[in-house]
Amino acid sequence: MLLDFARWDAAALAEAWRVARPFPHVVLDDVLPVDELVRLCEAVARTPHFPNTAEFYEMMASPERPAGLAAFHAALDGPGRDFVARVTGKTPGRASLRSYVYLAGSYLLPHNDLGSGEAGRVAAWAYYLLPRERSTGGELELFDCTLCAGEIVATAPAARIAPIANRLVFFDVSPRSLHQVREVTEGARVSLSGWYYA
Amino acid sequence: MIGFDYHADMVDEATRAAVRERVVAGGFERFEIADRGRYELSGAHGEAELTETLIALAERQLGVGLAAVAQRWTRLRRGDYALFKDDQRRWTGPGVEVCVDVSAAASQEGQIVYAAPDGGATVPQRPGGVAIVDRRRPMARYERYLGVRFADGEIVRLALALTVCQR
Repeated sequence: MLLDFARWDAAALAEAWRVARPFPHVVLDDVLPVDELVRLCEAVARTPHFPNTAEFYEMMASPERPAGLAAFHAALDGPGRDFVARVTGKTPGRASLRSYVYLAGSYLLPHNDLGSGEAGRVAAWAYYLLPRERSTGGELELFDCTLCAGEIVATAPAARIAPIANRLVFFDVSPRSLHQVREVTEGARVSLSGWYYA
Repeated sequence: MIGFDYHADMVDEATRAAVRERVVAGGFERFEIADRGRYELSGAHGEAELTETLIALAERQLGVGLAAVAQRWTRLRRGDYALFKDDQRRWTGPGVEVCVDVSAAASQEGQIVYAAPDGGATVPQRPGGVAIVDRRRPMARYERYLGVRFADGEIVRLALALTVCQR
């Protein structure tokens, strides 16, 4: 199996998720066998990526669920659902997947992934493909938020997760789940990411 | 189509430098709420002559009487930005927004982007340029992130919120 979720102690990760600050998240390293990681990198390299720019982001993105990444998506969308349910205590439905290439100058500014609220996202995930030394910047940064009457009135960076090859991150989607991808200032950062929907 | 006009080179270099010096001397306060924006802000500093000139320009453009209801000076450097959410909290309209760039240098970054259901417009980061935006209909704006391509420059702008009034 491409992604063997049985390798991890879901109960222990559920506790880690619960106590993680500034909001629930878990980090899994050495997720794939090295030969599988190499094959996945080759599949991403064959996948077309297009400029993807809006108010709070600028990077290159693949279409949704590119054919070359079907096995990885199937793992997340199949056994991954049960695993995420046990870790997060939520009831995730389908998983989405796109691949992203961040070259120098690419960024994803702080947001909470809730979107319009109609998106129905319950958890987010990201998987990194390239060695850390291939880029500068590009960390996933999580913010601590102070809310007043439902409005964020203060924020502070509270955790920084490096985009290390073969690392899989799951994090919560809620009004408090403010996060960003820090600007890549050199090199390239390549990742797969998406959401679990209700 | 949104109501948008852009006038290049409306404020000469000497005037920009003098205005910039006075604004900076008046002091900026750092604003930083991650999901809104990060930049420096000054709401208090007044530039009466410049403001009158901008209002008169907007009145001629739109054919209505206008009066200032709010203003803010902003200074953005590398790493700074302002998102739609920040505009939602700050915009006092409906009305007309006039923006003037008094920066020392131009860049290909830090544009102001206006978006409405029926279109959009982008204000280039060009010193001396003035944008007149008719915001009497729903519209939002953001200022693009200043990243590694922007290097060590800074952008100084005035945004005036105007309301339609009897002449």
